[in-house]
Formats: sequence, C-alpha cells, structure tokens
Amino acid sequence: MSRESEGPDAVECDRLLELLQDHLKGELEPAAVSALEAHLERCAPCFRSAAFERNFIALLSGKHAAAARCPETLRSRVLAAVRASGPG
Amino acid sequence: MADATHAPAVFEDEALPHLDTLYRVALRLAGDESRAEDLVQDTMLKAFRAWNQYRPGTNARAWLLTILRNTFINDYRRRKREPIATDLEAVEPYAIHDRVADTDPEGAFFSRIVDAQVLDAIDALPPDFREVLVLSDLEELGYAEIAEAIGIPVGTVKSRLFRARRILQGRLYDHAVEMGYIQPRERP
Repeated sequence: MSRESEGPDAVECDRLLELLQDHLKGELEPAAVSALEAHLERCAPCFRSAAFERNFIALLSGKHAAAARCPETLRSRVLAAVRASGPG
Repeated sequence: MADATHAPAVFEDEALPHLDTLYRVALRLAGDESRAEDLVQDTMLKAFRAWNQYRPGTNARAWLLTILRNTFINDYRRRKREPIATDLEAVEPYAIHDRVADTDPEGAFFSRIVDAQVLDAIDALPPDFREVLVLSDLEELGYAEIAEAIGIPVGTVKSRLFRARRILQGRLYDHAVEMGYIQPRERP
C-alpha cells in the first residue's frame, strides 16, 4: 500500500495514516510525534498525505463551527420537564 | 436523591451545559429536527431519573451521550435509514488520496464542498461508523471519551474512525467530481 515500499522509510510510510490519525487527534506520544514530523520533512508523498488528511478534517470541524445549537424552546422544555418530574 | 450531590439543581448545573452537544449528535442520529428534539428531551428525562447512578466528578458528557445513544437505539432507530452492509466492505484506505495525487494532492477540493453536502454524506455513513465520526470530528471528543460513551474499546474507536473517514472521503470525492470541482482520474 505504501508509495515508498522500496525505500528506507517503508515501515513509517505504511504506518503513516494510522500515526497521523492519532497525531491529528492530539493523542500521539511526544516521541512518536517527533518521529512522525521528521518523517514528513523528508518524505514528500507522506507530507502530501498529511496535508490531505488535515484539509479533510478541517472541513469536518468547519461543520462544527457552523453547527446547530440546542433551540431555546427545547432548552426551556427540558428544564420544565426536569423540574416537573423532580422530587420536590 | 437525598444527598446534595444528586440534588436536581446539581443535575441542572452538570447536565444542561451539554445540551448543544446532545442536540447536534441527536440531529445526526435521528435525521431531522423534530425527532432530534424528542430524543434530547427523552434523554434528559432518563438521565434525570437515573441521576442517583451518576458518579459526581466523572464524565457527565460521556454519560449523557451513552443514554442518548441507548435511547436512540431502543426507541428511535428506523431500519430503513440503515445503509446496506456492503458499505462496510467498500473501504479502500488509499484510494482517494491516490486518485487526486496528480491533480489535487492536498485535497483543496474539500473546502469547496458545501456544508449541507458534507452533513448528508455523514448521515449516509453506516451507523456504527457515523456515531464515531460525529463524536470525534464534529464534536471533537477524544478516543477515551468516545469509547466510554459508546461502550467499545479504544482500539475499536480508532479503527471505526479510520474506516469512517475513508468512506466519507470517497463519497465527497465522488461528489466533487460530479460538481466539477476536480477532474476524475482513472484508477491505475
């Protein structure tokens, strides 16, 4: 699957997307982050893959910024229902 | 509910701040605003009734999302909305990036796709993948919190997220080709 399967970085290329997923979620250990960044600096195909993933995820988180908020009517309805079913 | 930590006022302080998250997740699960509102209200009432089972100081958002999810599965899920199982097989991890390698290697076309189209494509994902992607990429929950909310191991969260993103990329790519945002390329 790797585009660099013959090169010295074969293992890292194969694992790029998996590592990148953790990295972009901020859940990669610092040592692994350094190794990943170092690999991206010297591997153009992986660098472009990383940019592709970042653009894709940015598209999704953009939906978050524009996303719906709980309507005030629902908020009031929930509050009223909770208070009505309360013990006191 | 005699103890102070489980008093109704504490429920209001702990649970109500998560209404926006619950509502957005409900929209993606239930498919329309009316059903999403009912789902959120049912969820909050169930949560309130079960409030004495909530352990103060633990993750209230994940706890509420678990109740939302269970309520949805038990009371709201409509079979006809479930995509067919073949979707699960059609995941080609590198396909999309390889197909744009010559024309748009960094995926600039993604930014041209309108919000409604992205949300439609998310709604069309298989449910197990959709819920992980919504919690991760729209609501920005971490792996552990998603695992807690859904009740699956972190490793399963990661693999579902990976596959969900690949499927979504494929569908958005197809849409981008259809709209002329990107030139199609034959597979090698």
